[in-house]
Amino acid sequence: MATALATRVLVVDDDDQGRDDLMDELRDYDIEPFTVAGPYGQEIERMVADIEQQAPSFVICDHRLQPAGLASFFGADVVRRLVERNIPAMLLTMYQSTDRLDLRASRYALPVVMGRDEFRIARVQEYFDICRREILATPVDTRRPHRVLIRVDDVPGGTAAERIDAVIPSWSPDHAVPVPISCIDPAILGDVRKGVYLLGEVNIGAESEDELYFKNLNEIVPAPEEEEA
Amino acid sequence: MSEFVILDVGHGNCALLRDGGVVAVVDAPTRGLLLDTLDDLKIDTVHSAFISHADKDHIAGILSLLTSDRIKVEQIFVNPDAQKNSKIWRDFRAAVSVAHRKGECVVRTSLSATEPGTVSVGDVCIAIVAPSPSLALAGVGGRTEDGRTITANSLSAVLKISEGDAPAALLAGDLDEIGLDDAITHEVDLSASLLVFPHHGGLPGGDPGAFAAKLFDKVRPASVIFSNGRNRHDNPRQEIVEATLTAGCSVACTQLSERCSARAIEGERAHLEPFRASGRIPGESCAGSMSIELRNGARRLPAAIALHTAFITADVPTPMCRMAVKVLEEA
Amino acid sequence: MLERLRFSPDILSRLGEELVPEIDQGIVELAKNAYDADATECRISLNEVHAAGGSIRIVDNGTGLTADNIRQGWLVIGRSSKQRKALTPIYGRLPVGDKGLGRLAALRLGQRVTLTTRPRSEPGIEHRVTIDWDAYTDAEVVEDVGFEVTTSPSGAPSGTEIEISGINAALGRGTVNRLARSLLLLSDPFAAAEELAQVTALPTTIDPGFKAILVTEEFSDLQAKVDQSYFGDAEYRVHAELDENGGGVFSILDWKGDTLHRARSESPYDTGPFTFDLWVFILDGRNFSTRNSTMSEVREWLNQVGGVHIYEDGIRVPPYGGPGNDWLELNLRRARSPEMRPSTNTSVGRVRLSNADRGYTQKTDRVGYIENQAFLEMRRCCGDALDWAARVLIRERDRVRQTEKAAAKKQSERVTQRLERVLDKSVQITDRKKVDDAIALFVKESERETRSLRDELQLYRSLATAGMTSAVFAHEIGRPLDMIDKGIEALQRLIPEDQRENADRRIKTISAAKVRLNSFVSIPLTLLAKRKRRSGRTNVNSCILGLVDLLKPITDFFKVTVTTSLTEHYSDINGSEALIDGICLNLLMNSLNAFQRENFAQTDRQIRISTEYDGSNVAMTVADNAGGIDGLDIDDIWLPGVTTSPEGTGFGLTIVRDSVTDLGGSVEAIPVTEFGGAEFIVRLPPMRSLID
Repeated sequence: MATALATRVLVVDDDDQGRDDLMDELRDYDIEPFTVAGPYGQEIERMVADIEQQAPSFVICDHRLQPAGLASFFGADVVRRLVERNIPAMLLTMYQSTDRLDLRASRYALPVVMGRDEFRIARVQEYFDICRREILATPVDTRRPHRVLIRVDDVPGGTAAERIDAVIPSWSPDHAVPVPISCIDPAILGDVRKGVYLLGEVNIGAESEDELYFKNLNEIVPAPEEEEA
Repeated sequence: MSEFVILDVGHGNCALLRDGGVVAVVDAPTRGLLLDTLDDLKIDTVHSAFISHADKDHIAGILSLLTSDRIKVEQIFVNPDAQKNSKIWRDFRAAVSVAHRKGECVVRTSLSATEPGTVSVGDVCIAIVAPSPSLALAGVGGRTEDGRTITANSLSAVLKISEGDAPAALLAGDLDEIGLDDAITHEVDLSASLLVFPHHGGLPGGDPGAFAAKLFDKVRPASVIFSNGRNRHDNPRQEIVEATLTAGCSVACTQLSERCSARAIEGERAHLEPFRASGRIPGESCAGSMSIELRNGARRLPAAIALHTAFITADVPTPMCRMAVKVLEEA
Repeated sequence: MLERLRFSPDILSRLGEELVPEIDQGIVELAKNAYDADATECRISLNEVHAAGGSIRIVDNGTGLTADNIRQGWLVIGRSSKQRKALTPIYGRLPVGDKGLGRLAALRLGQRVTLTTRPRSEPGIEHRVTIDWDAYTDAEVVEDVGFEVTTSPSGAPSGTEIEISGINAALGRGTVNRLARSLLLLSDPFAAAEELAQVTALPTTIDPGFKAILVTEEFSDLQAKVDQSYFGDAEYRVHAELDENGGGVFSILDWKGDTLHRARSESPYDTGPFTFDLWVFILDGRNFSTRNSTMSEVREWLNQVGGVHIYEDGIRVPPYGGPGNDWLELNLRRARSPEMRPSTNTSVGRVRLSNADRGYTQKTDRVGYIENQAFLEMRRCCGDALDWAARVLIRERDRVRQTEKAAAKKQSERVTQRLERVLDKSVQITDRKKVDDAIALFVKESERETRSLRDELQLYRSLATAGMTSAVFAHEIGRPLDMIDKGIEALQRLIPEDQRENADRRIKTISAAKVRLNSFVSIPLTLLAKRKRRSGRTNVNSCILGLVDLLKPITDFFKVTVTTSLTEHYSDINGSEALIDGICLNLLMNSLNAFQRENFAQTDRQIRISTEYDGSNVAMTVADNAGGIDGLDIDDIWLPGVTTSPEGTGFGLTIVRDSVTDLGGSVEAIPVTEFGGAEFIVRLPPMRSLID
């Protein structure tokens, strides 16, 4: 399969200096960079339309757009919509602690999410390729979903819980991962308790916790009865 | 033509066998390599799955096999873990209940020399040569006659895979000294032309050199494979590789030990066989996933061996398999 | 004919009132003279002194002066007592009068002074001499003015009277108070006679003591206060003494006088033997609830006698322990490490030393000792004793805390066991589970509360540590920033000509980023500068201007326009820059967070800070157009932990509220204004000039 190249890359970032710097770097790699002019307030559809209009091969979008006032929505929502419209797009983030959990809820829709410190301009084509393959329904191994057991180790906060602490034994049996409640199908929420197992799609090929996504967590597997001692 | 692959899964074991449309899987660790490989090969049914022992590096991948919505497991062989409340055992039981719900999956709760004894995969025969029933009955935590404590590794199932009368491949799981001694005591025929060395070439809980020598004495393999992970546990141990070379066996590791090369070797490695290998992209594979032909005696494909050898010569700075040893004369 | 040195009459002013300007010091000298004359009492009365022309009388019952004493002593100005003077004949007191200059000043308080004295050694007669100071104005030299000592019979007992008449200026209330206090504290009101003998270590007819009395209402009130002895209400007493070898022994005693802790000093001190005592009080409602005296009584008493006084051979040496005097730097030590430290308001003490070997030398103006080795070493010893005491007390307190913690834990275990037993006995087996469940639920809820409190405490600790850490590292930022500059310069040199322009553009980006980094990092450093925490007159306008300037890189980054409208009227308050910074910064951050809310967009972000003086308060207003306070009860916003920002700690507005309270002011929040956002109005009382 011929490897397509991203030649026109659109950069979305509320920090003007950061954005200009990234665009300079892209030029170094013979890529034509451009951007959209805000501010967008709450009008996410308008931003997506502006982006689509410019027909980029690839979009690099910052997650937090509110600080310098480019928009009051998050980059993750923009990337998600772009990917749904078959436009390869990736998310750049500083991974602040609240972001991690929020991003996990929509991670299945975001083919590439990268911390700014990990991001390497030299690998842009690689990031583009991962997004493209996913759009073409042949995702890379680290993004392939498998239906697996998710063990509920804790539900902090009881009925007011915002997340569960879960262990995915086929991914790493020793590692508890916080999973947002929003990932769990509301129909089974009532039965979610410590010790119970959920069934759902997880990309167990992921190499790090931040890459994990959760989809269709819609079945409960009751805890096996304890044997009498 | 049977297909038999020792998959490069990093630290762990995973073997895939297919003959005449019948598929068997022996062990699988975490992550998705086995499942993705089965997907690629368009396999939707695993007729027999074997779990050598309930260690997470061997059982975790079987869990996802049981819960997968694309793959069906018809029967699964495992010795029940005496430590029944360990987390991974509970996870396994949950996975089994899911498989039951899907409608199939028979769980065979004995994997020993007498029961099931042997299992057919097309024309290929899988013989369970260890543990002996008496050892299996002693259980984890029990004691041998000479007072040693039995561990889960001691009860690791050992599978001999052969086609017809040709020399077999021996998958030794995590067999340790106790398990080996038990097999010797029961005069089990461990001979094989290819051995997947126990415990990823790691410490067997006793003198590694002596253990290896004892094992080679009974198995007498021509070639030895280490299913090792570069990023964990410094496997295979140098003393064991030394013993292997001294016994005159050829050596192949799935992944590149740090002792053989301080850095990973990235880039196109043409010598890797066309199977998924966990170490392929990060440049951690050495031989990677290895296919084994069984018909004329278990051995790696000569072409693959040649390419692999060339790779080692060209790219690997300090390969352990090339260290100078004195080969023992045949007695 | 031989020539002589002669003195112009001006010298009398020089040596008198100019050298010793404090009226009370001069009169105290006269009282000391009475002490030296073995008097047991010296009464000083002030007549009609509220205007000029009044008179002062000093009467004592001492051994009086013979005509010779008058000639060779009283009328001789400036003789140094460095020569070994004999102890007083009757009580063996070490004489405390010195040089006579204070006496001179006192005697010159009025136009005329008359000395009337009946010497003990010459019973039945009385000598009198009158000095008219006016006579000196016309004289050329001092020696030209002469006066007679007249002698006449008298039946009165021995003693001396000095009357100063035609007082030159009125004596104000403050002066009289000071005089009263000085006279009262002149002889150690804290000591018993026997103790005095110990210090001087000399055989003596038991000295009944010496009292200087000022015949005024104020004095008797004061005396009443001083006489009350509140030592029993002290929390603890620090004691230090030097043995013959100069080795120090420090101890802490309780109010009963029992020793709680004791230690030897590490090194000896090069000064004569002395003792130091400091009674420390804790003026806290809790401590006083069970005692006989009230907290305000004790506080009042401490106001009068508080401070550390020095008694040389039984007589007080001013100014030590006087108002505003902190010669042992109690307040400074307390400021440096406030734990378990007394201040001049909460302690009273004295140093008792003997000057028999003249190791100490008083200054000519009689206000303290010359800081020679003897004095400095004595002071050092007292300081070391105080530091030692603080350390011991902190250790004790921590030990008690740990024990309390352990005890609490044990107690909780015992209580649980007891509960079990009670349940076993009184609850039916069938009901037991229900009861257990109910109890478990209760325990869980209380544990949850404790956990949340602990979380809060941890958060406070983390925030504090983060602040301290960033301050520490902020100092270090200079070096790596410098390295970036140097690195860039080196790189520039390596770039070929044809790439220069492209490179320069990229270098500019790096430099801009570096400047931003520097400004971000210097913010905590500036805010944590020590001088910011200094209390006193603080100008709100300049604080605000400084802060807005400091935060400019941040407000620029967030694309927020900050405008200030500062009053030209009064804007000083009594507080510290740190408190004002804290209030403004938290309100500003509140606004910045509000601008970033997910469901809100404001393209023209603005914050307005204004100050105003409305006649009674300095008002500071911070308003933004960030949409206003929404989704929260306006009264709840001040509570700790309440926040609408996911990363927020919820402490910002709590800190604002607490800081405003500390400053004695009030803060009001308006959820949304016409400007388009929230408005916070802080009202603070203005700084008044010091009133006495």
